[in-house]
Amino acid sequence: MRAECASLGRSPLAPTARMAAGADVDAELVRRARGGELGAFEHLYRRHCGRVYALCLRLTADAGSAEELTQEAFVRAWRRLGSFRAASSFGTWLHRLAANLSIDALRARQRWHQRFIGGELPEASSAPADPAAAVDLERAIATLPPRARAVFVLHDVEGYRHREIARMCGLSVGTSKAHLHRARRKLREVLDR
Amino acid sequence: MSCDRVDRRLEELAAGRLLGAARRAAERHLESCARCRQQLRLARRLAREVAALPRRSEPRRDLWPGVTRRLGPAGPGRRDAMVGGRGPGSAWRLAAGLAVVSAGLVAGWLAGRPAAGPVAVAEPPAAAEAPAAAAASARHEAGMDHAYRDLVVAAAERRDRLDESGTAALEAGLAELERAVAEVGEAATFSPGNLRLELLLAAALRRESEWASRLRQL
Repeated sequence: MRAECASLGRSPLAPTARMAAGADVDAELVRRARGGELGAFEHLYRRHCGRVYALCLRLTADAGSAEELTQEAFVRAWRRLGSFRAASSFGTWLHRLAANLSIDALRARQRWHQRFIGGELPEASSAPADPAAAVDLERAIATLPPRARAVFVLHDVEGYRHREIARMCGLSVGTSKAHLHRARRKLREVLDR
Repeated sequence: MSCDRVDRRLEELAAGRLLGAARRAAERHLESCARCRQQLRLARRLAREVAALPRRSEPRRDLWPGVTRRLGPAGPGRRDAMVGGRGPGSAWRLAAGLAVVSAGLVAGWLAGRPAAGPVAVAEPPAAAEAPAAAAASARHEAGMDHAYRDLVVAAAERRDRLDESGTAALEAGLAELERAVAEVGEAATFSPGNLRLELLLAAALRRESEWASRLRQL
C-alpha cells in the first residue's frame, strides 16, 4: 500500500483515509480496465493478489489450488467487470468472487469423491507432524475438515455472517453455526497442547 | 449454567458480548469449573491469534502471466475467454458442451418452450442414453448423489402435470445433465486435483441444484 501511495504521489494517510484513497484508486483502475486497458487491470491484480491468495489458501489448505483459484478469480473478475457496481468496493466484490470459487471447488471435490470413490473425503490428521508447530494457527486451520475450515475462515477470519456463509456454502444457518463451533473447539484443543 | 451451555457461549463471553443474566450465570459457573476457565482462556487466545493473522500472503510465483494467458484476446466483460488458455483436453470440452446442451434442454422445458436443440457439442456422445430414472435409482442405491436424486424426485412428482413432449424434454435434459456430470467426474479421475475440471463439475452440480429448486416451485 505504501508503494501504491508513493507511486501515486500521496503522502502517508490515517487508516480510514487510506482505505478511502485505496477505494478511489480502485474505482479509477476499474474504470480504465473496463475500457480494455490491461495495464490498469494488472495494477488491480497487484493490489489485491495477496488478499485473494491468502483467502484461497486458507479455504483450500493447498498452495497449488490456491494459486489456480487466485488466477481463476482474476480471470472471472476481468470477464465480469461490466457487471461490477460501484455500490460495493472492488476489493469486497473480488473477495466474494474468490470465496465463492473456492467454496465451489471444495464442494466439487467433496461431491466428486462421494460419486466416484464413495464416502466422505478423509479428513486431514488433526495432529501436526511436528509437535513444535502445535501453536501454529495457520497449520491448525489447515487440518480442519473442509466445511468446518471454510465456515471458520469466512466467519472468524474474514468477518462474513452466518446467513451469507450458509448461502455461499449451501448450508443451513444452523449447520454453519455447528461447523463454526466444531472448528473453534478443535482449534482450542490444538492451542491447549 | 452447565459446562455445555458455557462452551456454546465461550466466544461471546471472551469478547465481552454476553450480557445480563446469561453473563452472571456463566461467571458463577466459571468460579467453580476449572475446565471451563481454561476453555475461556483458550477462546481468548484463539481470538487474539485469529486477529493477528496476516490478511495478505504472497503466492510462491507470479501468477499474473497465467492470468493473462487465460484472458486471451477477449476484452473485459466477454465470456469467450473461458475456454482460452490451457485446458485439460478434449474430455472437459466435451463435458462442457454436454452441459450446455443440458442447460438448453432443461431450461427450455422449464420456460415452457419446446426444448432447444444442441448448442455446442465438441463431438457426439459415445454412450447410449441411459434412462434418467434408472441411473438415478442406481445412484440412489449407491447412496452417493443426493442432489441428482432430489432433482429426479422433483421431476417425478411433477410428471403428471406434463404433456408427452414436456416429459420427453425433461427426461432428455436430465439424462444429458447426468452424462455431463459423469463425463467431468470421470475426466477428473484421470486428472485428480485438476481445478478447472473441479470448477466445471461445480458448475454442473450447481445447475442440478438450481433446476431442482425451480422444479419444486412449479
